[in-house]
Amino acid sequence: MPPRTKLTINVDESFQHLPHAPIVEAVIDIRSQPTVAFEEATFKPQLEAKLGGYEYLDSQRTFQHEFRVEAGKPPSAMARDMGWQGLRFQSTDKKQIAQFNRNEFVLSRLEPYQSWEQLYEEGMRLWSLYVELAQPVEIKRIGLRYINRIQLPPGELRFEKYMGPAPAPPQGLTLPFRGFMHQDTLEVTGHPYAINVIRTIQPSGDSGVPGMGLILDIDAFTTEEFELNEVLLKRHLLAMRWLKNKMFFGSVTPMALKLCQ
Amino acid sequence: MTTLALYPFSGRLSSGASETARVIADGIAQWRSRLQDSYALGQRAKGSLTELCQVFDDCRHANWDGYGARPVAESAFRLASQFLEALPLGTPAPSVGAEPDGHLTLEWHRSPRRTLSLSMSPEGDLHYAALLGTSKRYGTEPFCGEAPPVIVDLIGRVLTA
Repeated sequence: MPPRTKLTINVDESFQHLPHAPIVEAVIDIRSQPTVAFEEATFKPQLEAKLGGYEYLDSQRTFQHEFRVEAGKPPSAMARDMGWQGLRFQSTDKKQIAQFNRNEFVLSRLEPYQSWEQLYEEGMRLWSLYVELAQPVEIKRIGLRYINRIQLPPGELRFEKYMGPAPAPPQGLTLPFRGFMHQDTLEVTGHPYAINVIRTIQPSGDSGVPGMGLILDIDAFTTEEFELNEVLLKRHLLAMRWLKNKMFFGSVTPMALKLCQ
Repeated sequence: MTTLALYPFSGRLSSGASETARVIADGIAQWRSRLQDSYALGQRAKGSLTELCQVFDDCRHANWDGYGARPVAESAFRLASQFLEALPLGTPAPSVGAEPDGHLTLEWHRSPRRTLSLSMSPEGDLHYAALLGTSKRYGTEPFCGEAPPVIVDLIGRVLTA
């Protein structure tokens, strides 16, 4: 068991630049509670007037599906509309998706990933619009999630060549993997952060390219709520960016990094 | 002595919009769903979600208690069901109820001096009050998709001490 001493976070540490970084999606997710009425009819035109470079994608509603099977009666299905949740917009190049939800602002950058600076600046620009319209007073959770997909050569099944720790078959029963999903949650000692890490594979059929995709999904998030404060928000995001970089470079092998050059 | 297996991962990640994010979300949902069906680990198999649906059906209209109670809002029902599914696997099932102010309640009761009561508001605030022998704990935590650690800790302390 590692010691529970405070982790030193060094946001100035530099990491190897990967010209073909395997990031398929980078996400800034900020959860908060609006203090004003959050209604589609008023929110949508206000947002559209201020959002440059984005087009309306869809309106999000939540449905709850219920299936009932009772003896002597035919099975019945019911969908219950749980109400309007928010709006999604897409950048004109379709590489960025912004969600303005009742309890959450989300910016997703799809591949090709550009840079942290670009993600951060765009995230803060759109977040300031959300703050202006929804007027939250505190932030309940910040998430910084990077989903990496390392494309394996066709037929490659030796995951340990690319990622560690990799799944291993039980001793005495060496069988090939057809799938796996491994999830860890790590506490960042001495800081209000935790990290969810998921390692899994994406079958080749799902992505349209031959060979499996090795997924390394790193989601750093805050574990305490705090008052709305842009300086603090930036400090948290920079710390979480460092955490996800440490997690990424500590999880992939030199061979995986070679695929990203 | 009963040992609780409390695992903190709720399955709720930061949102994603890509195809790969969907593959991950589906994988987690299947994994969670399978475990929710386990009588040892899941709230669904233990009947908590069915009990919650029953309480909601009984209390969704005004004056459900005959004394002018406020209806339980759909948002409170939705949040309470999300909270139950976000509890660490292996958490014992609570008793479900409703309050005249329209909140839903979840209660873990071991004895009159070891009990925890949670009240879920339609806005997503979890009000809690616990008796742990001679000490009391109470407060409010926001529910953002993950079971607040303070509440997970209290459930464990109420049931295992």
